[in-house]
Amino acid sequence: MIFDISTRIDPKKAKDEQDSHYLLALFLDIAEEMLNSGAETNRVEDSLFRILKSYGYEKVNVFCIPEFVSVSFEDPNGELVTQTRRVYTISNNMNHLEDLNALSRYIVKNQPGVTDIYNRLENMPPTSYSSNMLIMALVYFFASGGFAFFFHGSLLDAFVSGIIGIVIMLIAKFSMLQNMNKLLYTAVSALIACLIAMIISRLGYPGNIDKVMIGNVMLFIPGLALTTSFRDMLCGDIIAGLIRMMESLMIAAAIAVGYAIPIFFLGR
Amino acid sequence: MDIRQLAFESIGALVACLAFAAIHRNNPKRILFCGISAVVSWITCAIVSYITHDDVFISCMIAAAAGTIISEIFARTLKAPATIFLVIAILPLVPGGSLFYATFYAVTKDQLNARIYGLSTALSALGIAVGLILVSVAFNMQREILQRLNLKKN
Repeated sequence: MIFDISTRIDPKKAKDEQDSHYLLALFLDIAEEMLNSGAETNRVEDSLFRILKSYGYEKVNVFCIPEFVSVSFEDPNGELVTQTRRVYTISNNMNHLEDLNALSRYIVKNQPGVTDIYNRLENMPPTSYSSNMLIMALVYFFASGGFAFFFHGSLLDAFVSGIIGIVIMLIAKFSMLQNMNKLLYTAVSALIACLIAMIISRLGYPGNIDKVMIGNVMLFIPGLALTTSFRDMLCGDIIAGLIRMMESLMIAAAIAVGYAIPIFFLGR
Repeated sequence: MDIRQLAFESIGALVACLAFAAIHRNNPKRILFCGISAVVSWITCAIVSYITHDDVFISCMIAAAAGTIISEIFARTLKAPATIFLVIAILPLVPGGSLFYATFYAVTKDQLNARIYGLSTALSALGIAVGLILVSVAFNMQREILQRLNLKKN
């Protein structure tokens, strides 16, 4: 895959503050980052439409699926503008999504120029705690352990599950695989998590090893993708919903493969 | 109904969902509300499943509906997108346990248990979807009707 997504278009080259080509490029940056942070396509289409209408553009067309955005309109000078954007990565960053939502509301209200939008996009604050390794390790510990306890595991099960959760977080942090193939990444990390649990069980673990494993499975389950896919389909975006749903079903299958191999070879 | 067990489950769900809200990189101010919506949907699920004698479909449906309602309420009062709360609210209902057991028994060649757990996984996923869609449609329609009324006024 060849792609060039890290660069943002420089607003200094724009003809004036209301140059519709450059404005649209910035709006598509907002749309792209919204999709990257895990927004539903319906929300992205809606905010793009409102933004473009607020600038007085005519014949506004917006099409958006999880991997692609296309916009076309006629600006007040009679110029026809069309731009498309391919979106490669989809992750969860709710704080960023909320900021982008606020930015798009601000744009609809005030119709700012190119430099203002560019500066606001560049200076958006990152989530304060997400780069702190210690906090993220604790969070994965409690997410995994909490679900082990939730599914009637003992406190010991929850603790062991939490430790394996930290291992999963380390894999997510340091593996190059995640950016290359999401299915393979999910299958491999599920396999490693299951293997660790099986080894602990073979060393004479007194608790229920299946509760430990369930706590780890919950870290991989694509709940977000499934929820947004149903919401997309209900709002009429059948294609977008189908893409997300197929993706989450494939991830569920990858989890199953990762867990099936060690159980099959090592027995219960 | 076993109150003690429900309390333990709710504590587990609260801890796990607070942590998941942080994994989804929520704003620290929203994390607690995500946890509350998850606990509400789980307690609803437990109560309905007690009343209907472990009917997976109905209990997941009503619990997902309750979770959607409370996350839409939070979204309106806190001025944030509803998705933030909704994703966490349905997390305790997601059939992770039965999905795991279905694969576990399928691999260890226990056909009967694999079928039972596989069916329960499919039923609860369907239930969540139906509950979500029912309430979301209602909220969407209400929003649209309000917008049309505003347009008429202007």
